[in-house]
Amino acid sequence: MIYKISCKNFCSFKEENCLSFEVDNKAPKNDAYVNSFSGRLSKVEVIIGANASGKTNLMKVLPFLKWIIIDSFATDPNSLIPVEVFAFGPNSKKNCILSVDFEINKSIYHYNIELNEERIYKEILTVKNKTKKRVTEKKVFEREWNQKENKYDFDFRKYNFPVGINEMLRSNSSLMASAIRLNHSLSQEITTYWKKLETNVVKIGYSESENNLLQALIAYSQDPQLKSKVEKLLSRFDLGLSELNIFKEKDDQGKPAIKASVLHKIENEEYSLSLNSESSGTKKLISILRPILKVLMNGGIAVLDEIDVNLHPDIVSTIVSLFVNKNSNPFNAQFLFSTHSHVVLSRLDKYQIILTEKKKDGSTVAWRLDDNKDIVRSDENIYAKYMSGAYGAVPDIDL
Amino acid sequence: MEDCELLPQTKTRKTVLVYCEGSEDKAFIKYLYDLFHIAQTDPRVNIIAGRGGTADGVVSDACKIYGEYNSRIVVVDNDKQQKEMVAARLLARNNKLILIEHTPCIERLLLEILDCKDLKNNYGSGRCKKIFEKKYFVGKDRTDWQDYRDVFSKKMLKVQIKNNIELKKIYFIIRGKINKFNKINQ
Repeated sequence: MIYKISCKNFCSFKEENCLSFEVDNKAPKNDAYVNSFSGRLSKVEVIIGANASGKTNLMKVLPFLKWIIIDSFATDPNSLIPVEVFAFGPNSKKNCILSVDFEINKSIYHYNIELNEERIYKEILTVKNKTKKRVTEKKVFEREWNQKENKYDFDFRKYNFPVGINEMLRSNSSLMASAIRLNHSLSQEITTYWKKLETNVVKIGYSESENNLLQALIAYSQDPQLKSKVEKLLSRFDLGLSELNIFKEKDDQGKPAIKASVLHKIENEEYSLSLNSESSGTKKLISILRPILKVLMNGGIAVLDEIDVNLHPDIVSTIVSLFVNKNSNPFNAQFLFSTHSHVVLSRLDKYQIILTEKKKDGSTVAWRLDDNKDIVRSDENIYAKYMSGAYGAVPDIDL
Repeated sequence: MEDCELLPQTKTRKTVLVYCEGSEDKAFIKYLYDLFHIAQTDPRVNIIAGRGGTADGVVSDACKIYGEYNSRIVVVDNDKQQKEMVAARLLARNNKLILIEHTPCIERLLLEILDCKDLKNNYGSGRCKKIFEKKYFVGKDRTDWQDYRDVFSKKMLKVQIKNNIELKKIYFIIRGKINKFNKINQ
């Protein structure tokens, strides 16, 4: 599970900003939270803020870390790293720093990376383990760019890193991404966890393309269990459809293409309609349920931007409750999402709400509602107060 | 408009929020709603599953659900600490919420409806839950309202609504008949 992430000089974040799933004992004791190795974690966090306040940029941290940990070795050795540093003022010349704390099998890993487009300057992985007597923290590896000698300094004597790893390492890919090519078991265990991160966030931000729908249809056609679950959910969302049929058909140019139709039951009669005839909301739901169901079925985290686009607020709230409910979320999957469907705030606690605001220097500041200087009472109507602007993170429209 | 009777909803209806402690009690209430609620005439009833937790926490969560409902009902099991239940009742009263308590839990009500011979008066919620799930709900999903179809027939429920006061209360709630509910909830 993800404990917390932080970023500095990344996208619109100039100073270090943190997004934490960790909560203290004051948070309500209900199914929205789960006991972890070192305390309690929220299963759900929502990011709220005005347009262009940096919500999507905060959501980019985890997908970028997934890319750097798993896939960075697959790129050309000379290619630039697809990272955006803070663009304004002297900070545009500085490196960005990202970190994440995550738990796999009762070990808490802390991964920290400093980089810019040209190279990784520093990366370090530590692990905390808990025995009956004490908590121990060990360094798994560290590498740092030595500017004077124009080479990396390494420290990875433990954890059986394979012979030859030194020669494989590149300036534009992470050590773990290289080590999994040599079947390093710990790196494989870590990357297996990170593969469970599902997202609709890409480098340029939120991705709402036809491609997402196509990917979803392909996934449903390849996994009968996933298809059966999505059909069950779709039938419950009052869309009027009961079955999803996916098939291959030649397109206008004679190339094979994935097509889909949906079955509607109207007064005991069944009617099949092309998916193209369905509403934008139906198509959005079919698309968005793929990452959601995948993490609900396997564990991991779904990072979904602008989840409310084309969807009724009640559907957004129901999706949140799928993560809260123990039966629908047996592996304690986590859900990080952004939305402008603010009524969902009435279903969440102050520990589950991240607010973002843009400062005058163009940088974003993000904070969790329980960090407010004035105490937010547990019985406070968060939705109403947010809408009135009491917490900030609302647009200041000058018209 | 002459054709106004063709429109699905031509007047503003009364609304009822039913906030359940969790998704298992919601599923049963949703099943009753599917069987007995008359969409054309009954008030609009919105059934929501809560996040579990303490009884007063459930009531507090119900207070926060946005919407100008005519009535707000909270359904909880009262197999909790006395202090917690007192706080829940007080919070509900102060916020004009109606609190329905299953004594000690919804599974006992389900076993009573099924006229379960194994059920004893002194059985706690853990035992009731175990009997219900092992004897009547094997291989089914407690959180899926459609899975209650095979276990609770409409005929059986109609009979039990007359006999079982706790079920009768829920029946009035899902029909949005708050006045009738209040009469038997004195």
